Amino acid sequence: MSLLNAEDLHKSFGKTHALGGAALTVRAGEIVAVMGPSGSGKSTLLHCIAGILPPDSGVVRYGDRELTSMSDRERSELRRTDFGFVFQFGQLVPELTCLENVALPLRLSGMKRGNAERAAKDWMAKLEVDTVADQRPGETSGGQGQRVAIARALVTGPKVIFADEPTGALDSLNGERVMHLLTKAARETGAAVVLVTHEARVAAYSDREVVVRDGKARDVEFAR
Amino acid sequence: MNHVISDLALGVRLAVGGSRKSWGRLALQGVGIGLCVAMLLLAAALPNALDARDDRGDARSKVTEGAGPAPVLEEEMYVHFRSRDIPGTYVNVRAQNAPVPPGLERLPQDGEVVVSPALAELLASPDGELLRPRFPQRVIGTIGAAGLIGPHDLKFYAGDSKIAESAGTKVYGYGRAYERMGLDPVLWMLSLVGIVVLLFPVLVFVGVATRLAAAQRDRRLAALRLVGAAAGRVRLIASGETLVGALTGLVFGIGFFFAVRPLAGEVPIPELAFFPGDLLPAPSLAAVVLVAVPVLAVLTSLFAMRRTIIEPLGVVRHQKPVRRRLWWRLVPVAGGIALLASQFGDTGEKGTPFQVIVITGVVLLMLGIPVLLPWLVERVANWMRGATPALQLAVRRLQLDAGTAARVVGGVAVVLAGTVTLQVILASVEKDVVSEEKRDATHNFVALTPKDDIDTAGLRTAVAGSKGVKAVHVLDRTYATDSNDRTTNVSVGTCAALKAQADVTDCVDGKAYRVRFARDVSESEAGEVLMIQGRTAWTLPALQEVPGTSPGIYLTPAAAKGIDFTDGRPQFQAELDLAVPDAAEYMRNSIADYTWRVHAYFVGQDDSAEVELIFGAIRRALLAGAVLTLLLAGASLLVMALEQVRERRRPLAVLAATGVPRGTLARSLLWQNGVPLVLSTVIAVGTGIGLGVMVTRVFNAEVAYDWPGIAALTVASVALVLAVTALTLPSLRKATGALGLQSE
Repeated sequence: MSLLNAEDLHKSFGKTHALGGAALTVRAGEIVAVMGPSGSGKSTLLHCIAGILPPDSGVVRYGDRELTSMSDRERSELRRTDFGFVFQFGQLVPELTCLENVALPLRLSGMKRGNAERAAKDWMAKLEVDTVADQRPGETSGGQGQRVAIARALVTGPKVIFADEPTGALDSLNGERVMHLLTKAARETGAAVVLVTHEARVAAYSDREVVVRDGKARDVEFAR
Repeated sequence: MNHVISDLALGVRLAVGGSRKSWGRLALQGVGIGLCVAMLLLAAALPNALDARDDRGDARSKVTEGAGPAPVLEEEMYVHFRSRDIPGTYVNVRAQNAPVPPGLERLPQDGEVVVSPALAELLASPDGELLRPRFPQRVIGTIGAAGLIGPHDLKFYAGDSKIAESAGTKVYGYGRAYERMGLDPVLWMLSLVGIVVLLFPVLVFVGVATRLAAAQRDRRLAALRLVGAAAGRVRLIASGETLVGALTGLVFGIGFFFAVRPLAGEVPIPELAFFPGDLLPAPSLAAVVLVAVPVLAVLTSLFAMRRTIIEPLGVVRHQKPVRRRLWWRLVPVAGGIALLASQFGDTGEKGTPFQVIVITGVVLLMLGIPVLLPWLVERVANWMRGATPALQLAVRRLQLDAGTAARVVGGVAVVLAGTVTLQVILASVEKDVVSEEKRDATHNFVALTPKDDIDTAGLRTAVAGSKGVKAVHVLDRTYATDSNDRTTNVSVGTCAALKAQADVTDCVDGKAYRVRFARDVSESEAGEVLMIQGRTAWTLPALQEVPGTSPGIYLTPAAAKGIDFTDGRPQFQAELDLAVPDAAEYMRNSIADYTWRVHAYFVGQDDSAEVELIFGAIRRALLAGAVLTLLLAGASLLVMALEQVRERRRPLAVLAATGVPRGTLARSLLWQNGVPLVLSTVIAVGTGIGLGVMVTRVFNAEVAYDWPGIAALTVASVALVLAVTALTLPSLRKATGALGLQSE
């Protein structure tokens, strides 16, 4: 049973064609690595299937709902409740403390501050960043920042986590640690992970690899 | 509803993030918006302050209707001293319970005088030495604020028991409401344009201050979008964030206003000095300011972040900027020109053009500057090629983002354009007035008109003996009315007497002259029958047109046959020696004993200086306003320039790390500010001159240009941008250091 299904996605930025008929299927609970060289369109594919960027044409389905025909408000709600995001950097709000950052999606969903922060603290503990709860993102190390971002992505109990080069700005040791915690937490909660990376070392944490070349995705058929 | 409150609260939380950076940003916003709010509150307080002046003027005006014998008899008289006119009231108090004007404890008796604090100060100063002989009375007190128009009001009440019931004005009380007279059309226009052009940039700066650190804010809000905040909620969060800045600005602004208010009485220009207590904004106007500033701030901020709202990754993925369109940017310019052109020469029924049209026209043209500038900067940047690495860096940066650069200098451009506009209008008005005054300056005399039946022989002797008086002539004066009901003065005197007033070089007895009105006013022609004082018919002889100080008909005795002067009063002309400084003051002192009984009016060199003083005062006020607004613009410019350096810290650090010399980066920064600056200066001076010409044309006046003034302001604006660039260099140095490469 596929959770997320994208068909024949096309997306251009001016004269640059980022996607030219890409397709991707993500099943519930699986970890999919989207690989490919720089400029191949893997990040654009992730943004399109996550409902951040609307494709020029093609269809993205999430369960039985068509993502590509949803309004901005509906897609926003979906991002808040069902999806989680981890990017290379810049996704945390620098003015808020790490705890407030993690609690933010819950508070946007209307949860009371106390409850939201309690849930946030649990996730921060699981990701071993509870020590920086009261610090601002700028005061933490790169690895700690990424783990705070993962905690934030997981706090709403998402069905899918989208991770775009989550270890791109980290050294190998910190990268390993982040990937270990991300995949462990995803497997515990049953969340699917769409992982964009160009590093084989990172892709090794996935169940399945998809290679994007010239804007088209192709499954690499092997199971780990 | 809960959502709305919690989203606004989140915005507030983001604004007061608690870090030094966010507090600093909030403080900068507060100061920027606060300065604007203070200026707006000052402007909002002006109507009240002017009303308070009028009210006090009304309160001290006399009531002349009443029954029975008047308790007070009054004679009013201006004491002229150099370029100042000191209004005085001579009173003869005839009853114990006589009414007392506001600000006085009692009316002065014979030999006593009550003076305003400003007059007391003048009399006590070395400057007032030549004025003291005219106040021989005993000073029994000073006039309180309730009896003064403003803190620099020169005014006195003097006792004089010789004022007779037959001559003096009967006064039964003080305080009557007069119908407010509108401003003179030219002054009205100057004030109106002044307020619009000085306040418009203030509104621009509210927008600029609101957009401080906009890039960081955009990134923050894009992150919120990413975690699922819908566009509407992000708008609410952003509004909450902006509101904190705006409300901080309001608090700062109210603080600045009350801090500056006590200085209102210290302004050295009497017309612009107010009692601090009078300077209180009208509640309705204050409410407009207090509501409009946050609303404007929120709208500016929402407009600025519209792309971020649409695109959660807007700040991550940069697309090639869309080319700006010209046509809609020309709409305000064309609209402004059309509106102003429709009012050319049409001063309306009451001599005032249709206010709304003129204001709208001025505002539209001013609006044209910040609207046109980004398009122009973009076009020029696209056309430019970088000859040197520094220029290339600057040009490429401008090509990528012309809007920020244009906004940075746009505020300065609006101030410059507004001030140039005022200078052109001022120069045009001044040219008109000074040309009349210069004509007066070719003659130097004091015209003495006895007010009462006085000993004219004694007066003449006193004047003739005064230091600096060359001669004393007598003119018989009356007036004549023609069939069109046009009235003109008729003066008869010897050639020597006429020469003091007009250029009658070929004068012989029997000749008749006319000094025309300055403007083209039709006047009676030779052969027309005029009525002298409305009762004796007199045929106008052939007149020779001559330049002179005062318009009218000037006749030698032989040409004045048939004119009856029995009801006319002779006027004495005290011809002054230009070589004697203050000759007019010595002469006035020689007739000090006559007080209100002789009206002395000086025509000559000093009057020209008086005009210069008035225009100098207006120019100083204008310059002060422009400097204040330019400093405000400079502060905004500096903050935005620093913000730009901070925003681009990483690429700048990378450039420095790869070997680009800091000098190249500094020059690139200068080019980045310099190119938009040159363009904005050209567009501002062009708009300013064009707007000035058009407003002047509304009054059918001749256009004049104050080139030195325009040049000075242009240089000041250029210097401002250079200074700002210089002040950003330390920040650039810091950014290009090794720490600039750190991302967190």
